[in-house]
Amino acid sequence: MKARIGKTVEEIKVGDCAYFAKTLSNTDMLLFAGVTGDVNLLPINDEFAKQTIFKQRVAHGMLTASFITNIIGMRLPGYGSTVKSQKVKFTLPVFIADTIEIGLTITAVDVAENTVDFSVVATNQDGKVVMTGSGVINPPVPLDDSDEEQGE
Amino acid sequence: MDYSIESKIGRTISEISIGDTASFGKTFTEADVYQFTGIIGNFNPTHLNKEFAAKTPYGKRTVPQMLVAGLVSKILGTEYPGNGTVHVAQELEFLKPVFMGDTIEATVEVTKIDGKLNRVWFDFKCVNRDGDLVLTGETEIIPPFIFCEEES
Amino acid sequence: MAFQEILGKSIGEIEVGDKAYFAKTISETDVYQFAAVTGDFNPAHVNEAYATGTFFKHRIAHGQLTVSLISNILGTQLPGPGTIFVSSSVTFMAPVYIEDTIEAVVEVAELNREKNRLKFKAWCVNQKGVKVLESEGMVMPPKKR
Repeated sequence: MKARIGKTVEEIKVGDCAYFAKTLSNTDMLLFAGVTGDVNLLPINDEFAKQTIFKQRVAHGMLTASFITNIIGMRLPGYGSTVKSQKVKFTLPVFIADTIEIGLTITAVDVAENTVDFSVVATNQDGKVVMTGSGVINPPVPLDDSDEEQGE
Repeated sequence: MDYSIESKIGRTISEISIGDTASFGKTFTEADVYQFTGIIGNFNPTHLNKEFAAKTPYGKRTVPQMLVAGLVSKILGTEYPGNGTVHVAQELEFLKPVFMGDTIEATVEVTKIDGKLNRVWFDFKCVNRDGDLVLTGETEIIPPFIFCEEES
Repeated sequence: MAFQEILGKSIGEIEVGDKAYFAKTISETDVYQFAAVTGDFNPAHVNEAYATGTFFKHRIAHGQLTVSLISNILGTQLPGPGTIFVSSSVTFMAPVYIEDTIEAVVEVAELNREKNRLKFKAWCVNQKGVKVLESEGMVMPPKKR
């Protein structure tokens, strides 16, 4: 089985972009609460959330932030990528049934260091910005597949 | 059950002091990784493919970085300040990989408080059992507050 | 949000012979969640004590779980988001065990650009190179404005 990787640093250009969109389900929020252990009542309890300024449950910020890694791990750069650093700012609350679209754009490429910089914006179905951010990725490097070449 | 905001709310800003810390430790399992990647849709083979991972410098599957980072959400949302906390901004620097079976201890420490804006800032760090720092970051939150209708 | 930017390849962007791949180590969690979602609690999948007495000796993954890896490729890579699944047939050739790493491959076999239909061949192999299933079928790639 070949180790198939995403785009290497040489294959990425400043301005490259990729998108991911998902309608946030109650299931997403509950599973996220379960797997992270963040059972803050604000995202998971209607009765509590009704009494807050938001009037309804608000999604975990880190859930929205995690969707960035969908693009990084799957599309740009893709398989084999790791994140070096990342910062995000949550600008508006995200609610259940909101459709969140994440757009990631490459802002710098450093071949010698094998890093690419990105900026990211998340918008909801009304086109309002719910999150902005930036970060540094190590794109994948070719892996040793010599054993496979003989086998195939 | 009593879900009145007064009975369930976490620490409000007046109950928070600079230098306060809170911690939470967790062993990351294969189930955590598969569940998390399923929610996010990030099927990066570095997390989900043993054959691929064996060819990377790490040699085995890693835990998604944002799942480890989720520990900050867990502490802030459930331990300190607790229910009602709203994430405003998050900076993350990933220093070392985390593998399935690793136990990671996460700690937050209050570094700055702005009573006027109702904002609190934390330093965040994650350490593995060997004492290696795997993740550091800075967090900005809105601590829980009792919302009065008249104020809106 | 028009979502044009998240759509996959339209039929005009695809050639016969194009291939795409997806590989994953099948975990116990995958099998148990699949059982939970579909309700298929066949003991061959969720009862190790039972499975040791069967021909396969251990719990095996649901056949449709492995088939779904093909659906993954069609829906996310080739053609990608916006694809409509029309039909498929599958032949299972070898069992998939928990902790096996399975690679799915989709290859474009035939294109009918007029009717926007794509016939594909697909197969899955395990980490030992053993083919565990073969499939063929038809999809409609996304149409772009």
